[in-house]
Amino acid sequence: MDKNSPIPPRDDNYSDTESAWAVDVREAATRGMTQKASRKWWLAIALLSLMVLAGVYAWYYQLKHGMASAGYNDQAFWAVYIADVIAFIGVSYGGAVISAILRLTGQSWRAPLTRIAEGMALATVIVGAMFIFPHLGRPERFMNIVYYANWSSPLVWDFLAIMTYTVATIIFFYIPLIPDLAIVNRHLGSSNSPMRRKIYSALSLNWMGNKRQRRLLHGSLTLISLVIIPLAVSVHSVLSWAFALTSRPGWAETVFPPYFVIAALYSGTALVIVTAAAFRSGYKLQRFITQRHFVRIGYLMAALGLVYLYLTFADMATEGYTGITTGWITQTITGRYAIPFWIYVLFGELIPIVVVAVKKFRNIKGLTFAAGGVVVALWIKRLVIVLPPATQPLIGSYWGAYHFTWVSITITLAGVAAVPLILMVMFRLIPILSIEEMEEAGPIGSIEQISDKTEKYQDTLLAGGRNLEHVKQKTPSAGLQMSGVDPISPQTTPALAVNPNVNTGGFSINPGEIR
Amino acid sequence: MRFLTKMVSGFALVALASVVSLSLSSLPAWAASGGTTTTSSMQMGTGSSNGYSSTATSSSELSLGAALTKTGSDQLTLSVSPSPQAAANPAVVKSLAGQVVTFYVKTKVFSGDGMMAVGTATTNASGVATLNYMPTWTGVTDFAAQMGATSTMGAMSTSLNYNVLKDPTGVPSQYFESQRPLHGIATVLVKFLIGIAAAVWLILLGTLAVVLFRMPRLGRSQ
Repeated sequence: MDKNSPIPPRDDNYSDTESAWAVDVREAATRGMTQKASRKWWLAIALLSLMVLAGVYAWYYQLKHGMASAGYNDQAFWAVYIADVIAFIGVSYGGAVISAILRLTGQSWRAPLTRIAEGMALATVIVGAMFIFPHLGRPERFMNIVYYANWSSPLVWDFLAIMTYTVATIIFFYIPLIPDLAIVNRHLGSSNSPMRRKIYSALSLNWMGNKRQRRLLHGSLTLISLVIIPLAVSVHSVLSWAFALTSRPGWAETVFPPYFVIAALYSGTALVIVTAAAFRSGYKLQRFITQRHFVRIGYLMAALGLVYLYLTFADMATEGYTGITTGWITQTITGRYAIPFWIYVLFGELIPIVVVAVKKFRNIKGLTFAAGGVVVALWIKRLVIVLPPATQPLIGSYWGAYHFTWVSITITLAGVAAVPLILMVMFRLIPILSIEEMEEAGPIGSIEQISDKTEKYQDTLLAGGRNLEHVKQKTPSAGLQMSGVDPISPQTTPALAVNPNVNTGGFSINPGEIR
Repeated sequence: MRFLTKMVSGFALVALASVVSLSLSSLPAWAASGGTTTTSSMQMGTGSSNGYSSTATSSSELSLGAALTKTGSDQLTLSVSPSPQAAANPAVVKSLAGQVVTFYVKTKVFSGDGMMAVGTATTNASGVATLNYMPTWTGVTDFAAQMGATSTMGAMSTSLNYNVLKDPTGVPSQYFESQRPLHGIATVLVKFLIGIAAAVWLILLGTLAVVLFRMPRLGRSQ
């Protein structure tokens, strides 16, 4: 086998169509690695880096001046940083689990999204875990959780669960990358620096794409996928027990573990949509990440949103009805936390449901807007979960108060900036699309993405090119932008009339292949 | 991309609205009750009430006081009011009305600066702002207050010896330590959970090790 061949041979022979598809996928996947970074990219990197540096300075200030500089006090001892930990690790969970579930259920349409979802999961879990340090206040005592572990404390289990989940996410990110690194190394050839070639070569583990290697790759990925789903559930259950196993009204709730797990899935799904939209636009991946992807993930997001709404209602209704410890509910619904709570209801529940339910809004823009709202609203919701019970008095009627300061805001914004920063740098070094999976799914897999409307027109086309002019007039792109295929140009359409194999620029469509 | 930029900006504003609402509404009805305080006699100098003693100092225009209230709970009412000299001048009193006052506990537990913000309140027409606060540790607690951006904080301080009761009467007992129902099986449970965690680590690292060692060999063996 020629190691330097531009396309490493697969065990099954490539057809011309598949080869063309593979070439296009590789070009798109490595675009960020091969093309010179634009001025906009550098500007974004500079801005995001500045935000991260500002956060580091704010943390230094907090270390020097104490937690009070971040708005903490004796009656608001847990506040924004723990909400950040939950929010960031939550979205990470969503990315990893969605990728794992879609992998296990053999959803080939997932292929263009997996790398983005897994990359997002990795970036957010790293940033989320970092928030534990400002939350601790005295980071030099961090290792005490190991030296003096109190196994009856959920905090020790939090530490263990987050660490395990981080390692699992790294492995889950790395294994599918093995074939891609080999492909990239050959694809880029001499344009790659010698150092990079060496690193890619080492990390790709002599990948040749033979049957036995594929079997090992798929087997290990299936196993990790099976592990990462319950693992992620356990991480968020344990995180929730850090609250639920206290005697605080509003935290000591039996509903908390599923409440946290669903919130994580919900916000994670939303962030997958936002990240996919951002990189689709920035890396010009419109051909591969289509509206159908957004709609499918959007349905999932809406379903999870409804479950989360139900759990919120169940949580509040149970406590509110019994009336034993309802101070936090009053504060949340009508008191000082009412504005954030109702912002969550609007952007975290009503808007996403309406956007997904109404066909007019169910498009990329609408879904990205709804998903962006969910991400922000769920962060706000975490604040509303943390603050009212933390500040509720256990004795007497004095309510504590948490005040945002420039320190806590800057550190939080640094975390927000760190995620796109990591992803932007990451996708300069590794392919943004999972090349191997997309090639495996192939053009046929991508046809699944064709919308119903497009399928109708395709049928017309494949029937022999009848009403071709009508089709051209009604659908200038023949819906093929949504199918992952270039718009039919006037040069290619005449061929349709005589040849049922439609050459659409990237690959051909055989009637029998459409499902 | 323009749409995304607009969207991110829009949602940043939404998040900011939440942050601002939490910061501005820091102390609503239960705190900003200026004018109805029972602490007028405690505003200056020294005094004592129900065994709690306080001393207060005043700046040129404002003074800070602290007293134990009789409102049904063991909490302090901190108040800031015009000093006698300032109170005698209606123009000064008028200028002090409607100002935001931040109250602090002087402690290094949460703050290297020694100032832990515990709440804010707005002065009423008489220039008085009050804040209810319950200290959470025993012994002498020092307070300070700052009005607006003035630097009179250091000048306005008062100290109060306040005892925090561990188990006050009349408080539901579920808030206090009791034997956990799962106490008896804790050791077994912990061992079981550690076993699960070990198995997960074994699967993760084992899978990675198999991939790392076997994959290159399979590539060579073709």
